[in-house]
Amino acid sequence: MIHIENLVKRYGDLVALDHFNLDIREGEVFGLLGPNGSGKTTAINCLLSLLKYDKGTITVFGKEMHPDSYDLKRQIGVVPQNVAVFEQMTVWENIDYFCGLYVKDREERKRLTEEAIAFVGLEDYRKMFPRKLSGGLLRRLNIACGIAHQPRLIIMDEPTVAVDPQSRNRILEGILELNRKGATVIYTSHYMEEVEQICSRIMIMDHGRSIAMGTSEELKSMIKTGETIVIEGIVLTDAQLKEIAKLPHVFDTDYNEENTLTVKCTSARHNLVRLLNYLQEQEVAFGRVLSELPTLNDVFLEITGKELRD
Amino acid sequence: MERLFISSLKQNIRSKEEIFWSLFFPLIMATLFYVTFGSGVDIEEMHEIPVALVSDQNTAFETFLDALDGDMLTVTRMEREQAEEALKDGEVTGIFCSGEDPELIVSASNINESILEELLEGYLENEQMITDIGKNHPLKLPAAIAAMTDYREITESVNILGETTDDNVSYFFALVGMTCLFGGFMGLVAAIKMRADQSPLAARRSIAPAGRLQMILAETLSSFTVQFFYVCVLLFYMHALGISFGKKWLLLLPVCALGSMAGVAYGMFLGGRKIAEGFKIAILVGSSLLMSFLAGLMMGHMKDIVEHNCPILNRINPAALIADAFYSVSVYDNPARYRMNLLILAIITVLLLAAAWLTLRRERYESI
Repeated sequence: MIHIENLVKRYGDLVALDHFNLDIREGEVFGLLGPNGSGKTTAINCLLSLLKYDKGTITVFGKEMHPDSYDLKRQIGVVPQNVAVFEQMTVWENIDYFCGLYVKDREERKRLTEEAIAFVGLEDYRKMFPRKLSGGLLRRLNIACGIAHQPRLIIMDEPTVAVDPQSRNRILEGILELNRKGATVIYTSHYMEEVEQICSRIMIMDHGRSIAMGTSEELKSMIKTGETIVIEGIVLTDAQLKEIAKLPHVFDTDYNEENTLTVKCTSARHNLVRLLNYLQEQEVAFGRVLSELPTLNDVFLEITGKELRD
Repeated sequence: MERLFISSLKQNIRSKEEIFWSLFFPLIMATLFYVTFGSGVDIEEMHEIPVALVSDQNTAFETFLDALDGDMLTVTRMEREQAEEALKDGEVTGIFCSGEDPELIVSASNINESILEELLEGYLENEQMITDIGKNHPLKLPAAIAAMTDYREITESVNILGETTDDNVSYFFALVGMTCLFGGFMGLVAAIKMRADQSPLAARRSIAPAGRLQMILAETLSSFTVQFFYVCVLLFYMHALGISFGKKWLLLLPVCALGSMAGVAYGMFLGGRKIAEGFKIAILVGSSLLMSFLAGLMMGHMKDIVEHNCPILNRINPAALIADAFYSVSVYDNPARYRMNLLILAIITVLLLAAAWLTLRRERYESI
C-alpha cells in the first residue's frame, strides 16, 4: 500500500531521514515508534508531499505521491500531532468543513459528519466552539476531522499527546474500530504501551533510521532480555551481589543506593524462583518484588543504549 | 468554492480580533476625531487665502486680484525673493506672478492651493475669451470685461469644490485609508491558514484534495467582502456624524472596494512570508499606521508635507491614494485625479495579490 525507499531528508547539516525505508500492507495498524526528533513526523510529512526531500521514492496505492495527487489524497485521512481546527467554527462545522474537502455530495457529507461525531462521542458538543472544549475533547474533534470522510488509509501522528487516560482509551479503541472497518492505520507515537496495544507491526526509529521492525513479540525476541526482576528494600553485600550475577541466565545486575536490585535474565523459566531461593538461603530480607517481561523500551535500550523517553 | 467561501466568511465575521481592528477601532477613531474636530465647516465659512503678488506690470491680472483682495484673498505685493521666503515660511499659500503669462507658485496641493490654481486657470480662460471677443465681437467687449471683473461670476463658473473645505476632513479620509489597510489582518490570517509551513491548520488543508486556486480565491473574496462591509459601515457612521462626502459619494464606493482589496492583498502578501507570526502582525500594524500617518491620520497636513518633499511616497502609499481619491471626489471634484488614484491603487493591489498568490500555491516546503 505504501512503499518508501531510500528516503533522505536533510535540514541543513542535520539528517532527519537517513535512507529510510518503509513498506506498509493494506489492513494493518502500523506503528512508528521512536523518541521525539527520531524522524517519525518528518517521514509522515514527506509521505504526504508536504515536505521536500533530498532523495528517495514514495509510492502510495502504487502511484508516486505529488502535492497535487488529488486521487491519492482523497483516500487518505490525517490526524495531525497538533490540534488543527478552526477556532471560529463549531464542532459540527469543523468536521463538515474537512469532510467537504473530500466529499462533494451534500447529503453524503452530512451523513458522514454525523457518523464521525457519533464515532468520537461528541454528540453533546456539536454546537460548541473548540475553545470551550477540554484537551481530550479537542483531540477527539481533531480525530473526527481526519477520519470523517472514511478514508482507506488513516495516518495518526501522536494523537494522544496530552490526553487524559479516559480519552486516550477511547481514542485507541476507536483506532482499532476503524481498522476493523477496513482502514489501514499508520500510528506514530513515543508511547510504547499504546503502540504495543494497538499495532500489528511496529517500526522503531532513531536518528531518522529504522532500527528494528516486526510484531511486538518479534521485536522483543530480538533482544537478550527475557525477564527483568526488580526487588526493592533489599540490603546486599558485594559478595552476595556477585553470587546473584553468577546465577543461571542472569546477564546483568544493578544495585542502587536506594537498596533496589535489578536483575536482567535471558528468556528462561524459573529465573525468579532461583533468585528467591538464593535470597532465602542467605536469609536476606526484602520488600516488594516485581517481575517484568521485556518491553519495547528494553528493545530500544538494548539497540541504542538509551531509554526511549530520553 | 461556494462552500469554502461561506466557511471563510463565517470565520472572518466571528473573529473578535478582526472585528475589533477592522471595525470597532476605526469607529472609535472616527468618534474621537469627531469629538476633537467636529464634522467640518461649509464653504461659506471659508477664510481668506493669503497670497503674494509679484508685480510685473500686468494691470489686467493685478486688477483681477485686487478685486478679490479682502474678500476671497489677502493679496500682499512683494519682491520675488521676499515672496518665496514667505511661501517657505507658510505666511502665504501661493505666489502670483503677474506678467505677460501670469503664473502661480505653490508648495503643496491642499484645498487652498487648488482654489488658487483654479482662479488662475479661470482668469486665463477668460482672458483668452475676451481676446477672442475683441477680435470677433468688439461691440460686446465692455460687457465681457465687466463680467470678468466680477470675481463672483468667475468663482461660480469654476467647479472646484464639493461640500466641505475643512482641512480636518483629511483626518477622516486618512482614517478610511487606515481601515482599508487593516483589512490586512484578515488577509494575513487567511495566508497563515493556507501555508503548510505556517500553521498545523494550513498543513491539514494542504493535505486535502481541494483545488488550491479555489481555496485562495474563497479566502481572498471572503476577506474582501467582510472588509468592504466594515469600511462601508465606517462611511455610514461618519455620514451619521455629519461628515459630508459631497454629492458624488457613490464614487467613493469603488475607492473603498479597491482599498479593501489592497489591504487584504497586503495582509496576504505579508502572511505568505516565512517569518514568525508575531513579527508579521507587528509589521502589518506598524506599516499600516505609518502609511496612515503619512496620509494624514495623525497630522492633517502630513500628506502635503510628503507631497512637497517626496511626492512618490504619496503615489505608492495606498492610504494616501485612498485619502486623495476621497479628496478628489468630496472636495476637489477632480475626476482625472480620482481616476489616477484609482488606477495606481488597482496596480498596487494586483501586484500584491500576484505576489501573495505565488507564495500560497500548492508546493512542498523545506521545513514544517
